Parts: sequence; structure tokens; C-alpha cells
Amino acid sequence: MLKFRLYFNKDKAAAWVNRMSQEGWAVQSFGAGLWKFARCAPGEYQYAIDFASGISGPGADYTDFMTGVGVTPVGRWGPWVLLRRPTAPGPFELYTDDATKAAQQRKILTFFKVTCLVELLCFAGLCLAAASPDGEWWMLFVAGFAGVVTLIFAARCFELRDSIAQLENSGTAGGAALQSRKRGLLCLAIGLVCTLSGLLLRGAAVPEGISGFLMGFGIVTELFAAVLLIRSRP
Amino acid sequence: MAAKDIPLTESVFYILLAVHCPNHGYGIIQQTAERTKGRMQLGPGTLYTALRTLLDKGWIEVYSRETASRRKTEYLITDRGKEVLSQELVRLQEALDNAKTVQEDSTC
Repeated sequence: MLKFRLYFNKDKAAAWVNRMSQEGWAVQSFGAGLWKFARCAPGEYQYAIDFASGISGPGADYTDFMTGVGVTPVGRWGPWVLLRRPTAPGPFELYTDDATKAAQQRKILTFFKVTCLVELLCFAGLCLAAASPDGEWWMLFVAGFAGVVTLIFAARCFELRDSIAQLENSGTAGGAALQSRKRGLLCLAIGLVCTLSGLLLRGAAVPEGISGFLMGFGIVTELFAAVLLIRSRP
Repeated sequence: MAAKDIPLTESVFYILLAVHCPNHGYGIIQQTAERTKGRMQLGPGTLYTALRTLLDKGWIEVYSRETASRRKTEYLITDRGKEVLSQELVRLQEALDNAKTVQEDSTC
């Protein structure tokens, strides 16, 4: 059985895979949101997802170690490794102390920050390409997708930062900072939509000023969002 | 030894205890669970990360590694690791003595 599920949170993905295992479906392979399942006894396995540093994924050392402690690496996609063990009492937790949990989340945060930046650059590049005389319509749709992905990764970065601060007892974002963050993300979304709309309307049967205003307003809103997000740092 | 090495996390403390004799990953997990009467279950991710850190710091070393399969790598505490553990035991003993003194003191 093949299923499509896109997750930006590994713990939520693992929870779903564990629910599937309870229903008698074991993961065989996964990647790019596609999960391949095969029949197993209900609840036969427990799953967890790990983040291994490096684009090439975990080394033989990691795989050997996991196998040695009774955990089987089912597959990997980029730095994400899906692990399983025969069901045992208690949840399958890979990280059981705050220090190693925080260290692992820091690695994920760095990866998400880089991904977020790359998506943002893609968005900007595609917007510029679409605005050029040779611009194509599809560029705007891809730019819109990149914008949405940027927002999702930005939100995940904030979640992870809070989680790390909590694990390290250094406090999480307070009420005012949280409010500033929500407004920042909202402004960023509005800014991205306005910029894209302005580009979409260029050359259409609307006055040139309207598309120019939308693009300008979008850029100003994005800058304002950046200020709000910087201010929301704990 | 750097001052920031102490206090040890509970995971590192029990890992160092478990490698006083050559021990492998599964053995460390089992021994820690037994010593803490099941209270502490070392997760494989935590153990892997901690072992890599301890190897980097020179507190433990690889004692043996099966040639056919590297799955049974055994680790052993080094002299440097023993020194850190001793420092931690001094700190814990001091905390315990202070707690006992306060508990036995009935002046307030």
C-alpha cells in the first residue's frame, strides 16, 4: 500500500506511522511524502524518526550501533532515518534526557534555517524571473509554493527554538514575544500574497499602478514582518 | 579537566559506571536499567550521542570491535574518565552530607 503524507514535524510523522502499525501496517520505505506499507501483525513494531547530520545521512557506525541495541533502520530520506523495534513496554523514545534532546533539536533547527533561507531565495528569484519581460505564469505558481514552504519552515524554526529553550531551562517566548511572532508570520504571509498578486496582475487588464502598489506594499509588509520576527526572539 | 564537565548528566554518570568493565551499547542500556531499578531507560539516540561525545572527550575508548560485524563495539572508561567520575562522586557526596546534616538538624 502506498500513501502520501507530507510532514514537517518528525514526531507527528512517527505518531502516524505508529498508528498505522497498530492497524497492521508496517513501513517498508519512505521518501518525499510517499510511504510504502506492507501487512504486519497489529502493533508488531514501534517506530521513531531520527535526524542524522549530513546530507548523505547516517554512516555505517550509526546503523551498526542501532542494530546492536535491537533497533532496525527501515530507511532514510536525506538526513531523516526511520527506525523500528519490536513492540516493547513503554513508548519508543530515541532521546531520553534533556541534554541530548536539545542537541538533536539544535541540529534540526540549523537544517530548517538553511532550508528556510533556500526557499526564501527561490521565492525571490522566481518573483524576479516572473517580473522580467520573459517571465512565465508558472514561475508565479512555483514562487507561491516556495513562499508557503518558507512560512511553514519559519514557523517550525520558532517551535524548535522554544522547545530547545524549554529543555535548557532558558525560558520560552513570553506573551508579548509570542504575539509579535504571530503578527510577524501573518504579515509575512500577507506580504508574500501581495507580492505574488502584484506580479500576477502585471500585464493584465488592470492599471499598472495597482500591480506596482501591490508589489510595493508586499515588500514593505515583508520587511515589517522581519522586524516583528526579530523582536520576538526570547 | 574543565570545570564545566561537572556536574555530569545522569545519563553520562551511568554510562561511565557501565563501562568500568568493557561493555557494548545493549549492555550499557541493560545495566543502567538494572542499577536504577528500571527508572532510567537510556534511549538509543541518547546513548549513541553520549558515546560519541565521551569518545571525543577521551573519557572512554573503544576496547574491541568485531571484525566481521562492527555491531559489537565494546567501550571502556579511560583514566581521564575515571578522574571525572571521581570528581563527580566528591560533589555528590558533599551534596548528600549536606542534605543529611540539614535533615538531622532539629534546631529549627
